[in-house]
Amino acid sequence: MSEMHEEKSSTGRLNSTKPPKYFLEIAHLISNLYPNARKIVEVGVGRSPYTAIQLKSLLPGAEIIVTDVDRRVVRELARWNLNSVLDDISNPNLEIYENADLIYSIRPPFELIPKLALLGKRVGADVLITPLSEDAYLSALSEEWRMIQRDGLIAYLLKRC
Amino acid sequence: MSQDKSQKIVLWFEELNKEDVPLVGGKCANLGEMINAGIPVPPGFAISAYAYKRFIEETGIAQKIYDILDETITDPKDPKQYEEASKKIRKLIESTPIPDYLQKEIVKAYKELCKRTGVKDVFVAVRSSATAEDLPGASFAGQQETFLNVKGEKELLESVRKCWSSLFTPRAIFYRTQKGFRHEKVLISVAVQKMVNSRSSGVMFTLHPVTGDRSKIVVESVWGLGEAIVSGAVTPDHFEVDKNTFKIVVKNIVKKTVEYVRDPKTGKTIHAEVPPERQEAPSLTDEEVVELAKIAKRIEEHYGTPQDIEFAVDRDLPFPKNLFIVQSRPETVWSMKEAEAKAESAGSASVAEAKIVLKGLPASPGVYAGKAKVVFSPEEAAKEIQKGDILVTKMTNPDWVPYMRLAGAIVTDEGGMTCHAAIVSRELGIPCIVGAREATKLMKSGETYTVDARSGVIYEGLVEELVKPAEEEKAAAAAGAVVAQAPVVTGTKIYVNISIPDVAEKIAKETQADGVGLLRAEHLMLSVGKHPRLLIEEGGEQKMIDAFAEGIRKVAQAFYPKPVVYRFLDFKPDEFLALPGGEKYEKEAGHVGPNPLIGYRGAFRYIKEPDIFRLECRAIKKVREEYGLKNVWVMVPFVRRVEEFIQAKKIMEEEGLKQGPDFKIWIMVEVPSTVLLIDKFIEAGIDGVSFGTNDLTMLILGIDRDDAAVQEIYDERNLAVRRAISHVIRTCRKHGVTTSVCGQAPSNYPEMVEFFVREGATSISVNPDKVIETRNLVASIERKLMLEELRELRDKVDRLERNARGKVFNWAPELD
Repeated sequence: MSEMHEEKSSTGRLNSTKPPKYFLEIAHLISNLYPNARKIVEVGVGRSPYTAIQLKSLLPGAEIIVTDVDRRVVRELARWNLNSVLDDISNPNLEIYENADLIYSIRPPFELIPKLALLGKRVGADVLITPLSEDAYLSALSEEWRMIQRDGLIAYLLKRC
Repeated sequence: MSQDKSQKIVLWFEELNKEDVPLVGGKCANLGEMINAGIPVPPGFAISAYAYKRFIEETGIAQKIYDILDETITDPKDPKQYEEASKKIRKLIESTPIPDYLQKEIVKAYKELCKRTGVKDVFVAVRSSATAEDLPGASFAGQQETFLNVKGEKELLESVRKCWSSLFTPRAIFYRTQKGFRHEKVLISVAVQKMVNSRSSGVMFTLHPVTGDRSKIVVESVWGLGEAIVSGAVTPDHFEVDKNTFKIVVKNIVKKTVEYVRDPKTGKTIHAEVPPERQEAPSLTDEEVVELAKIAKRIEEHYGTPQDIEFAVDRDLPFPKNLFIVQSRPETVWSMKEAEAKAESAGSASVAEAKIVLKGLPASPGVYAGKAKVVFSPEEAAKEIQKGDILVTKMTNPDWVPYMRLAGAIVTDEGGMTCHAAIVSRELGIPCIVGAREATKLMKSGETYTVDARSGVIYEGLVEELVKPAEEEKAAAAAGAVVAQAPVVTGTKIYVNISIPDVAEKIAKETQADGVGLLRAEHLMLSVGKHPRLLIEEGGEQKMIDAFAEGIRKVAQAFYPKPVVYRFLDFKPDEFLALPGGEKYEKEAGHVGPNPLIGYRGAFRYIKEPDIFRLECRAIKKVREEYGLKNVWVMVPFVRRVEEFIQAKKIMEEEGLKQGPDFKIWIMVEVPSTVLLIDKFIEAGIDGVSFGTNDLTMLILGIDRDDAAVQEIYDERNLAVRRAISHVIRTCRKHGVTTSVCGQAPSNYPEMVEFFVREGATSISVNPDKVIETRNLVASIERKLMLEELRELRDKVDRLERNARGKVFNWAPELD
């Protein structure tokens, strides 16, 4: 995690030095669930690339890709040695997600959760999300989503058919 | 053919599916996928990436290409070097003869295509289809080159080489270098596809582009090629087909005097007059319309999302073989990817690079680029303003209207949402930004600017990336306006829940909701990306205020003048842990208890840490006062005690947010205490309530909604919950306090919608995808209620009459 010592202004730009444990816990959960993954994509990475960076070191054999709809974010993330791609989940470029073992998204708003599920189904990838409790509720997660609770972390997993 | 698929030179589309991207690129694989899903696309074949690989390897130019790249590009930041390398490589590829056996394979396939279509020397479109093995963003890796109306073997082989060389445009080389993709890894395939000899063509939408109605398919068509419809040169015939019965429900045939056709000799597109006998005839037969609608439905089902489809009807072939799908894409306003490609290829500035001159309040939506004219009086305007200019002034009044009509866009120093310039420009449909303060100082007459009146930003020069998609949107809207239908009117208002401001405009347009019943603050905070306490420590208060104000403005603007109810931040304390600073200011501060759902959250936080709450208040104030968006109201979540509401209200007042007819304060009814004390809350001055049915159910039934072990008894329809809601609605109605619901109960259970309508809730707020459905449901429930009341009234009258009759005829019962 030595790459993370770049401090930016107090908001807006990439976040700073100490990655919240929360993101690292998600990375550990994913690496435990998918130890042999070849390709993993994070959707809507925003300015918190910590999970993806951690995953790169936990799963050195896997290709880790991050996407965001904001081109400035994508540009900034490329500097963190992350494979970052501009993409709009509402109109996804399927090539990015093809052959992924897992697509995940941290704190996705309820509006985007059904789109993530659809994307997973279209490319045959599992989907893992860690929504705010209200987003999980507002998106009315179907029974196909399995709740995973680990040390206070709540995630939902949708397995490919 | 026992040959391995990956070693083939030519692959027919029907042999392909989406797994074949590495062999033939995304475009060809997708065409194969469509054919195999039963979607008719013009026939053709792919020249594989393997063919290209053999071409560059066997002719020995592969090494030369990589050498040129290494030698020419010594400074990755110098665009001239990319151009130079591109020029050298493209010349090399285009001048190197294709090996004989490759030529033969390609020509053989072309002849077969001629045979299959029954046309000698058939016109084909030749397109590149880049493959980059499994590299993401591969579509960027090769510039997508297209050659239309290619005819005969010689022209075909030339076009193929040009497609191959398009892998080395300056932009493609630059992109791969930047992304660290190895050039050797990126290959290119070529699609060769019959050009449809269009008798008619058009577009279809599987979702009504204006009303969002999904029950019909809209088909629009013209004679000849599709360019006429896309450019708006011809008003198309308009059909609507019921998606279930496939009956044509709307048919509007218009006079079509011009068409675009292909010159049979030169192959070029020409503009022609439609012969009189065809001008008023339908450009599609009924059976073609129905068959096209069936295809559209199949495509939507195949891709799982509403589609915007281009089709063509071939004059060489009999029905139904004459119908072809030319393109299908998800029905969205525009894709960022396309915008980026367009902007960069056009050589104009992209949004990220464009220089912002100033910002103001977007008062009438739209984007426009043109020359500015800074004028200070109508007299001056009369002299200066020409059609299409951007009118820049301090403020307008009725004397200005003639010159406002001429303007392409309007920018004023002063004013808010309801000022003269704002109202008139909305009426005229001209993009307008008001309250830009220094527009007359900073903008110069004669200079070109791009006015983005959707976001309120004025850029220096032409920003094509913004202007182009906006024009397309306008054309689509204009086409749709003809068939726009007013939404069903309901007594109960239908609001929408929103958490991402960027989609507000689209949602407002598509759903036509009556307002926003829940604008959530949590995702605004997540995009600011820090715990608010950490922000304050770092002196970043203003950044938080600005970011929140900007998010709220986007939503308020999109729905103006309909109300937007902003709910103050309501993270559960453990949810703050995902933000930098969360550990310190939540966990270490002792805020994260054993059950965060009933822990340190909601209104209690606002009075314990008013400095954070005040930042939200200031953002609201900024939106209401600086931007003039008085349609923003607020809602206090997770209120437990009346004192909390009173204190929160007091802080709002101190921050200049004074309750009044245009600034309403709601509370969420989530904790049973608000139900039991609703009369006290009304006395304390609430204007409205909104039920958060999830927390209310949790707390009435005593079920932790995050605990899987008790989920099976969690039910928002439980009688205890309904009784609580009923009590609150009835009490509020008595006192003229509005009632709403923003939880999922109405979306999940239609009977709960009926319950809320029967009880007399003022509004129901649902997720964007449920608005239209809920509105229709509410309308039918309201009709049912009215009928029931009428029936009751009639029964009453009947009873009275019977009683009266009883009295009259009592003395002679045998007459009954």
